[in-house]
Parts: sequence; C-alpha cells; structure tokens
Amino acid sequence: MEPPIDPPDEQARLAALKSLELLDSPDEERFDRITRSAQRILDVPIALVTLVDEDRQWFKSCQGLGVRETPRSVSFCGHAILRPDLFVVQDAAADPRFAGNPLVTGSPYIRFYAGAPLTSASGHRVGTLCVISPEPRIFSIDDRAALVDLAMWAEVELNQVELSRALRSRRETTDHLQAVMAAVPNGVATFDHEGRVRSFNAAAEEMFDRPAFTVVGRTFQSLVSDADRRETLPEMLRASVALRGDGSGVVRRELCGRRADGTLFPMEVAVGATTLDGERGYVVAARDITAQRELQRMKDEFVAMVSHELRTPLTSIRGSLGLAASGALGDLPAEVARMIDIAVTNTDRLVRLINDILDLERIESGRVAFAPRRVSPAELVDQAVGGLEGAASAAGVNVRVDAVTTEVEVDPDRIIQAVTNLLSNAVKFSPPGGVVDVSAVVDDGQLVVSVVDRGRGIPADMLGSVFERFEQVDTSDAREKGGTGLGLPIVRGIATQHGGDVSVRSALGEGSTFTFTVPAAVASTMADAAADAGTILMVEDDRDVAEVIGATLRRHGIHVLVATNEDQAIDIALSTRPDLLILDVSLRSGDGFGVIEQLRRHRHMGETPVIVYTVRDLDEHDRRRLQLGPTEFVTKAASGPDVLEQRVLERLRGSS
Amino acid sequence: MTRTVLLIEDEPDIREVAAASLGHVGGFNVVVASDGAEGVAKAKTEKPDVILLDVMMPGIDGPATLHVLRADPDTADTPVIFLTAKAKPADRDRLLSLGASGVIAKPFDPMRLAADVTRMMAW
Repeated sequence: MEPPIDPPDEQARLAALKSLELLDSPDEERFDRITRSAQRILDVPIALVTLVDEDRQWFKSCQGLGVRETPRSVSFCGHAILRPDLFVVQDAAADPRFAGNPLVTGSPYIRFYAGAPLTSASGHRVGTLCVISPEPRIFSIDDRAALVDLAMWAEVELNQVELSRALRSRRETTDHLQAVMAAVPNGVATFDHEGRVRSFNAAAEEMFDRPAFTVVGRTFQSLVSDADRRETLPEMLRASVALRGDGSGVVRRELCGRRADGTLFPMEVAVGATTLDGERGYVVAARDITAQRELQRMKDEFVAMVSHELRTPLTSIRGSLGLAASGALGDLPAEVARMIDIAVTNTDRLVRLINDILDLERIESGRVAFAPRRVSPAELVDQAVGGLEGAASAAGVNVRVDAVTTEVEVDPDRIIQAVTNLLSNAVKFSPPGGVVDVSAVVDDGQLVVSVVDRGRGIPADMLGSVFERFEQVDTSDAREKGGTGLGLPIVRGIATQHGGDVSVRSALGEGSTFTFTVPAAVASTMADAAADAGTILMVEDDRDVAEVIGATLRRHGIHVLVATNEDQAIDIALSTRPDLLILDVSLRSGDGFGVIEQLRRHRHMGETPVIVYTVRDLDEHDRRRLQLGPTEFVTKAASGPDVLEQRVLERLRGSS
Repeated sequence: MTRTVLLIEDEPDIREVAAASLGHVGGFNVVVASDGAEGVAKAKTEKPDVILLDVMMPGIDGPATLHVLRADPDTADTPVIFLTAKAKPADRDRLLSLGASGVIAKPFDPMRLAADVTRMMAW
C-alpha cells in the first residue's frame, strides 16, 4: 500500500483549508445536494465532499458512509489532491497502490474510486468531490464529464466562504466609513470622474443648506461661486502634482461655496483623489470659514484702529511736550524742565512700544504681506548697519561686517528689521570700545546671519526664554537701554514667517552670538501666496477684460473674484468682504453706482478701498457717488492693465 | 526769505503743535487747513512753498487730496510731504510713489519737524 505524499505547497494548503472554516462544521444542504446529485447521476452508492486535513480526511458532505473521517494515510483523496485532473481507480484490488489498503480489504470495501480535486480561491487543492463503489467499474467519458461539472459546482460552494467573508468585511468598512462621514464636523463629499456628486455628508448638507438627495448627481461647479468655477477638480490635482511631483497629498483651496438659495460663503477645501467604481474619483472636505474670516477682519480692523487711535493723541503729547522742553516757547524753571524731560522720554518709549506691539502682532498673525525679492545679503546688512551708525558711534562700539553678495530671495524690509533688532541689542550691550561682528553667508540653501557681541552675556537659565515677549535679562534694561522687550520676539516672528529660525549661544561674561537662519529662496505655491496677497472683487461685465485683468493679478497670488452684474457684486462683496473692489462703472445693468450705494448701507463695507476703472473720465459729482473707503479713479484709455496692476498692488500692500 | 508751509491736518491738537513747531522752531510762515477741500482752496490762494498733508482724514483722504492738487494747474507743481501714523516701509514707499516729496511719521519730534521739511525740500 502506498500512502499519499504531501503536495509541495502543503503548509500553504493547510492554511487555506483552515481559513475556509469548514472543518468539523455542521452539515450544509448546499453541499449535500451536490453529493446526492453525484450519487444519482453517476449511479454510485457513496459520494463525498472531502477535505484533506493534516492527518485525516474529513467529510463535509457524506452520502452512503457511516463514518465522518478516516486517516489520511489510507485515503484515496490524499492522492487525488496531488494532481489537477481526475483521479480514477477502476479496481482498487487490482491496483498495487491500494490492494493492501484497509478501506479496500475491509469496510467499506472500496473497489472503484473517482475523485476530482476541489481548489480554493487561493489556488490550493484542499479536498475532493469523490464517488466510491464496492464494485469495480469502467468510468466513461460522459461519467468523467459529469464528475468534472459536479466538482466545479462544489468548488463554487466551497469558495462561497471567502466571498461572504469579503462581503461582510466590506459591509463593515462601509458602515464604519458612513459613521465617520456622519460624525465629522467638516462637510465631506465625493465626486465621480465627471465631477458629479456621489455622496454628500450631513455636515455638508447643513453647510450648503441642501439635502443630499438634491445634490447627488450635480456638478462640483454648481456648488461654488461663478468665479470659482474655472478650476475643475482634476485641474486642482494636476496643479498639485506639478508642485509636488507626485499624485499624493491633498490640495487646499479657499473658495466660495454656493448655498441652495444662491448665497455665497467663504470656505476652505481640501481635495484628494480616490477611486470610485474603478475610476478616478475625488473626495472634498470643506470648512465654512465665515467665522474665521470675520474674526481675522475684526482683528485687522482693531489693529489698524489701535495703530491710528493711539498714535493720534501721542502725536499731540509728544509734540507739545517737546516744544515746551526745548525752550523754544520760553524758558522754564529747572524743575519743570526736568519733569517735562521725563515726560518726553517716556512718550518716546510708549511710541516704540506701540510700534513693536503692532509689528509683532502683524508678523505673528501672518497678516503681513510678504514681498520676497532677489537681493544681496551684503546690501541688507549694510542698510541695517547704516541705520544704527549713530547709535553705534554714540556708544563707542565698532561694527565689523563680513557679508556675501550671493543673491537670495527674501523680504528685504523684514530681514533688515530683524538684523537691525539683533544689531541694536548687540550695540546696547557692548562695552564702550567694544566690537560687534555681523556676518551673512549662504550655506546649503539657507541665509545665515550671525551677530556676535562681547557684552555681558545671558545667564544659562534665561537662554530659553530670551525670545519671549517682554523678557529682559535685567529689568533695569528697559529704563536704561530703552528696550521694549519685543525686539527679539519680532526677530523670531520674522524668521518663522520666512520658514526659518533664530537661536542664541551665550554665557555670562562671555558675550552672545545670535544666529538668524532663513531659506535662501522662497518656494511659494499658489495657495500660500493667495493667503497672503489678498482677495479682490472685480465688478466687470466684459468677460475679456475680466479675463486679462484677472490673470494679471492672479500671478501675484491674489485671489480674484469676478461679478458680472450688480446683484452678483453685492452678493459676493457682502459675503466675502474683499480687500479691494475694482469697479467698472459702465456696467450694462445699473452702471455700478448701485453697487456702491448698496454697499454703503453696510457699515463694515465702509472702509473697503475701491479702484474705479472706467472708460470715461468722471466728474466730481459722479466721483463722490462712488466713494466707499479710499477710492481711486483709473481710466481705461489713459492707462493699460499695467497701471491698474500697480495701483492694485499698492492698495493691497498698503491696507494690510 | 521766509517760506510758507500749508499744513492740512484734521486733528486740532496736532495742527496746533505742528504749526507751533514749524513756526517757532522752523521759522516758517504757517497756513493751516482742517480738511482736504479747505486745503486745496488755500493752496490756490496762498501759494505755499510746500504742503504738509495728513494721510488719514475723514472725507477726502491725503492721497485723494494729492490727486486733486495735481489735477489743478495752479497747484500741480507744489511739493507735498505726507504726514502719517502708518510707519511701515511699504506704506512709505507707496506714499512716495504717489508723487510726494517725502513722508514724515507720526508722532513726530517737534524739534525736528521743521528740519525734516527743510531737508526734504533741499532748502
């Protein structure tokens, strides 16, 4: 007798068998009907669905046999799984492999066996469909065909397990995903390859005030403002690929969403690619940033107001005290003069403090418009040093400069401000006759500026907090050295805004070295620039003009919204609060005057700068009708888009 | 030769201090106006040697007033120096690019106001 050998994939095969979860399972009609059919069709007393386990063969379905399993070593099926085709033994007693087999010599006295291997979805032969008879038999072509067909049927049932498990897993995943979509506070929607809505979660329904069933099937374009319809979802991602070099990652945009009633609202979206039904699809998560915009606007208005409101009385105070102190208006008794001197000194200190606080606030909140330019570090350092010449020579401090001329792309004003602050500190804390070294190099793509002084240094326990607001190593410094305590935080703010950093090395009695590092080139993306450069509403019904001007301005990272009629203009202006309005007065409907009239009724629009861009020159009366915030007039004939571009950039930079 | 400065400034106290500074310390002849319209009118009648023009005023603001002055042949060539509470370099540049001869920041040092004007005019 020859026991069956293990097939080469035995371990994997056993694993596949186990994963079917059929071993030792109860009887199932779906298998029993197959073995019954086999009995009938092939006219045999015994038909089995066998699973060949490690040491045994176990019968999932069993017709005509009283046992449920037998050892593998004496099994016929163990042989059958070694080959892909039918295993047929027409007379076991005459076959040397089986003549001595206990299942042949004893119960059930097998003489005829025909078995077809059953293959799992993973490609392993885990068992057989077999028929057995105690009488030898010729197995005809038709019989073979029948057994093969029945075996295929059995295989389908066998692999149903995998299928239903996969289905269950998918259902769980879908349920999980739906639960997440329902819970998430952001509006989330999916779109198919045509840009049509596939799904729309509860938060999105609320944001857009549209029930999901009214949105499904509609385009992405129908959910955003006219101005934002130009960029399709595929285009957004293509732009992202161009930037990142791969298809991964998520693209962010600030767009205007459109509600069911047509009203618009500002939103921040994140767009990612996905697969839907085997094709390209898109997932968009959106956040209504109306509140955020409002807050930012309030903060900006507050900062601007504080700036002006504080400086106005200070001007009078500083001016009147200064005049009195100078004696230009007559002599003062010594003590009075002394008191007034104190007042003047402290007024100056207050002015510096206000400047620094507002600077710091603007820098840290990122509302400072960044204007990178190609410039040489030597130039920047020279300007900073030049500005402090007076203070340095008054303190008897010598400033030595070592700066490269390799051009970098940074915001010159900001860098000069940072270097000035560092230098000012260095000079302040240097002993008379001392030396301050300033160096600027470009190293590994970074601009590195170092300011070294040999003053009294900073104690170790203060090094960590030296860049915090109002931290002064010695509180008498504020009075004596005239510092505001904000110089270093401002330097840090500027460094961070550039994507860089500032650090210090110092020890008591050994002076300090401040190192300011920023990337030498600004890698700006459309999205980043847009956040800084501002939003403009252009009211223009001539599409070509709007196209040209829009393209020109977008190059600067400005977000340009276009309204082609009065109603649209008012709508968009009220909901997005643009930084600037460009108004074409010859609009076919209403002439544009109506826009200003309407907007005047809303207090918060009162400060919006306007550039009136028009064909005809306007008389005084008309000009007055078009005043909103600071208003300028540009005629189309006299000046091309370049002049308009210039004015726009000036206005935007000026009002940040 | 006594030069005439036209000061256009809406805040009465600042007007008074600046006028005192320009007059007493700088020795200028000072004419004042409290808004853009009055300023333009006085510019035409007084023909000042320089106009000190506040930027932020209610009604017609500094830059708009400058625009009007430049549009009128009587005042188109009168040099203008802006007075402003906005101290950022970007603001300065913007104001200068509008055609001003200089920008003086508020609060100003009353002892230096006249000297700054003189320097900007290269007198």
